[in-house]
Amino acid sequence: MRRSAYLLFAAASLLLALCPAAAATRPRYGGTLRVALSASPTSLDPVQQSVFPTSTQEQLATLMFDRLVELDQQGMPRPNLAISWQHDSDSRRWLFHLQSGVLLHNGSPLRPHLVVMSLSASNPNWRVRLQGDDVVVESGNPIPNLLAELGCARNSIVVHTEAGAVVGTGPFRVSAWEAGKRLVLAANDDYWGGRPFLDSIEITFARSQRDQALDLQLGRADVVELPPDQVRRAQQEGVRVAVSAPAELIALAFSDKPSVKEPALREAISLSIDRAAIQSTLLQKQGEAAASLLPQWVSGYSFLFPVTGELERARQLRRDLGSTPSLTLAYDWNDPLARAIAERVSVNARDIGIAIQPYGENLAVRGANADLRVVRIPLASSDAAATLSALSAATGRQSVMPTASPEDLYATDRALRSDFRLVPITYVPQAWALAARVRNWVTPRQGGWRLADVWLEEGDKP
Amino acid sequence: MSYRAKLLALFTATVVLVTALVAGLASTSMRRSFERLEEQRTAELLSQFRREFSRRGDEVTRRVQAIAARDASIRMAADLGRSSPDYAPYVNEAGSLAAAHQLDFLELIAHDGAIVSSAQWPARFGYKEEWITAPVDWNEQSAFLKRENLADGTALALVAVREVRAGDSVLYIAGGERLDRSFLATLSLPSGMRAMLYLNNEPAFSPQALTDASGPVAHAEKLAPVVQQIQQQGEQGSQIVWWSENPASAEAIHGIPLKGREGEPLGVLLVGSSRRDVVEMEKHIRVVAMLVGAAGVLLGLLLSGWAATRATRPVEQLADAAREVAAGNWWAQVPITSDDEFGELASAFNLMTRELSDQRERLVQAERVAAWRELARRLAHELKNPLFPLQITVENLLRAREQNPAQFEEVFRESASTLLAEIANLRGIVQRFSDFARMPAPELQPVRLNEVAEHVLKLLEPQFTAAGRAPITAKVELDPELPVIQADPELINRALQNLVLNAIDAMPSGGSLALRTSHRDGVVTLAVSDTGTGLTREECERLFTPYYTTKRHGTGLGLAIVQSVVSDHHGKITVESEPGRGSTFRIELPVQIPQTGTARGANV
Repeated sequence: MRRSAYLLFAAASLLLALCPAAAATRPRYGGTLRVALSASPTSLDPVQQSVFPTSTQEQLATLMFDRLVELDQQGMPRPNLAISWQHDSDSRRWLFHLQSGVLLHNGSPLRPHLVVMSLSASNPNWRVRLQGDDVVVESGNPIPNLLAELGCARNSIVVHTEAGAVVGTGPFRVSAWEAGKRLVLAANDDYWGGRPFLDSIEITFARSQRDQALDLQLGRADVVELPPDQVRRAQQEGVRVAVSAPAELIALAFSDKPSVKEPALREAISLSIDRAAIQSTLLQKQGEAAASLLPQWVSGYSFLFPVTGELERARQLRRDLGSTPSLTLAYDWNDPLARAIAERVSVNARDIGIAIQPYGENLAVRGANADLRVVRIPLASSDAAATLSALSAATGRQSVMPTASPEDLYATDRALRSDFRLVPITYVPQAWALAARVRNWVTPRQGGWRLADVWLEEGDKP
Repeated sequence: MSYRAKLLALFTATVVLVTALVAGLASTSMRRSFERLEEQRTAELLSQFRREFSRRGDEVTRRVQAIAARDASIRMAADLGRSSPDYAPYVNEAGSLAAAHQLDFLELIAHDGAIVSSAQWPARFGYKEEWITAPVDWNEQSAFLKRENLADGTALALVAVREVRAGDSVLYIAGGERLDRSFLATLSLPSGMRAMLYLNNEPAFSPQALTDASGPVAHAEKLAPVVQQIQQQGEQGSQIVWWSENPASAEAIHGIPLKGREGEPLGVLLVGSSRRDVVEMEKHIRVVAMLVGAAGVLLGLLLSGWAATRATRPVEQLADAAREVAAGNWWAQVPITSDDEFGELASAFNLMTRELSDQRERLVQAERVAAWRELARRLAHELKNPLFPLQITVENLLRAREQNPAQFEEVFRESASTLLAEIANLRGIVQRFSDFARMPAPELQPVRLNEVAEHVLKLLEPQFTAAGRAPITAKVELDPELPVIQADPELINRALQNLVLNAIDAMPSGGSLALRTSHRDGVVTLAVSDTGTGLTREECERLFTPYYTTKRHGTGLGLAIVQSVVSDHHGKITVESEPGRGSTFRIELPVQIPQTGTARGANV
């Protein structure tokens, strides 16, 4: 199937190359951007995301919702709904001054109390309140990386209407929504940052990689996902590809079941994994092998952790454990890469005498039967401290808020992995295959998209 | 058991035995024929499996060869032969190649044995297949069986290996086809047969590892013994498996070990042949044999009954004739119906009865003459005694009249008195002979023997102490529980009087007379004992002969009369005696006289 996908990408590129290039240099308003995705989200509310939010959920959130601040390519906070902020000396109390005149998608103004309600819902540990027209965020512990936290998708400002719908202030508003199947977004003409170039975005969900390649080849889609292991060949085939920095962590997440309660068992499995082989072969040298929670470009220290398996140590741990049960490893059945990694993990574990049976599961109806899972965790932020904090919260640990110092980040990273509940395997980039008419596509380093800046070449609509 | 019954049983047993023997031989012969047929079918199936195995192997080899001959394979070999080869571009190559060439298994393996790409287990890239680097010219090797490790277990594969060389670099291409139930489904099996594969080499039997063309074998654990036997011995084996208590569920299992390229055991091919047809045929044969046997037995019974009857009829006729002879018909004859041994026997019997009749006739004649002579002698003896006094008396009368007429009158009176006495004596003699000749038949009625004994004793008691003789003491021991018997009281009374009178006569010097009664087993016994002179053995033997007497003036009829009475009552009389120590006469009478049988025979 992957070979077929390559051929399809190649054919699509050839077709696009044959098209007359308009060579337009001035942005143009209008058009519908058609996107095909493999995910099938059932909710648009970023606050209702699962423990590990998917990249798709993060990406959808950037289209419909704003945050108080946003992070630039270097991870530095920039004003968004909040135009300025202050904090006390130990960073326990933050005050945000909101810009005025921002309208929700339903036309009503964004009141400060709605911001307070949204942040309070997504951050129960914070005390969020109004101070005049300003919003105050307080915490018992110092929160020096609050700005990076607020730049995460889960801190999007979401307003729930009386009808039960969610509305935001983002550049696009929901025009049509069929859970798990299709989403149509229309340009928000009243967007405080200016109307986006695109008139609308039509997103089709639950499209397999093969279908996405066909959609792109046949002109039924302008943007499709490109699995990391196909980036190399797609580039060789001349397909227009946009690739982020390693921005999504693929890891093993152990459950709380008694079968995997022994930390030594989890450590043995972790040590058995040959991450380098996964990165070099399965991922076709895309991304980077991950022995830490953060990629090298975010942390700066990841290279310190060995990514090759330590079989002798793993076998010793296995022997010390005595008998071990046969474990089940779940992966998203729509994700071939996750399947390949799960099977490789199973092979590696077999080397040390631990039986792991991989099986595919539907993420929409994920059960609690698996002993461990292959999970994809998008980089919450380009800020290392904020990402570690988000990971600690996502894995149910006590919230940590490390400082930006490398030593503190290193220690926090080690501490978060010390119980081997979350075992990093690799960091993969987000990649997109683009139609030729898509213009001004910018891929942030931490992944995602900036569709508000994208415009479509005129006359390229099939 | 009668001779006829024995003969019948013998004939019947012979018929049953022969029938069973024939049925058994037929059943055994049929079973052996089926077994030979089954062996031929199994051998044919195994041969078919080997042919199919060979054909599949050639096909796999051809496909692997086709992959090896591709230019892309040569380029790959060259690419992987570099100093730092990059396997990543080829990691998914095997999957697409296997699909294109319809192979279940395909691995692309580098010169050092490292898996570059695996269709059956993609995640195993980088792992080593050490066996393939052995110094073997794989291009000359035909397909062989190999155990393939898969993510979800193991599988048996028919594998061919080819080498692709590009300069000094070599790329191994190992492709194969899975041997599983789909392979079994391609075998054309005769009705009632099936093929099974057992793909597990662990010491413990695993039922899940046994499959036939339709899937996992139900109750596979029943096949564990034959599978383990073949695994342990490495040779083919067989066993009959009963899947239920119904014999028709039995299945003959033949198995051959499946071995790899170097003879290592990989699994077992089992061929099952249902024994339903054999069992049903045996059952049918058994039913037919039983029906034929039953008919044979019935016919045998009839024939043997007829034959036994025919064979024993002369014997029965002989027996009837013998019984007639025993009953007094001395002239009984049996018909001679054959000239065989039975005819000879009947002829001899007839001759015997004729001879016996003649001899008896002559004996009767002789006895009659002897009896008349004895009678005449006794009569002459008895009559001679009174006649002599009569003669003397008459001569005295004549002499007195001639010589002494004066005293004639006196002599006449004395002589007349003597004459009358002697004449009375003669009349008495005549009367006793007359009585013996006129012995009446007993008139049976209930009789208490004790009462008869007491009556006789009371009647004759005065003679015990009669004047002029020594006294006799009587001793009576009567059984108070003596049952009532059927008898003629007058005759019994007369017989007992004779015995008591004889006892008195036997004790002229006095003595003791004992009268005893007793009973046992339906027989009453009356014993008369005396302490008199006793009898010799010879006297005892002749004692009951008529007209024999040991007394000076006896007629010899007393004990003959007693014996006649006892005999008429179906009893018997015995005597025990020694000279000088007295005698004991013992009469035994049955309580109930049989209704049949009227022969007057004395039992002594």
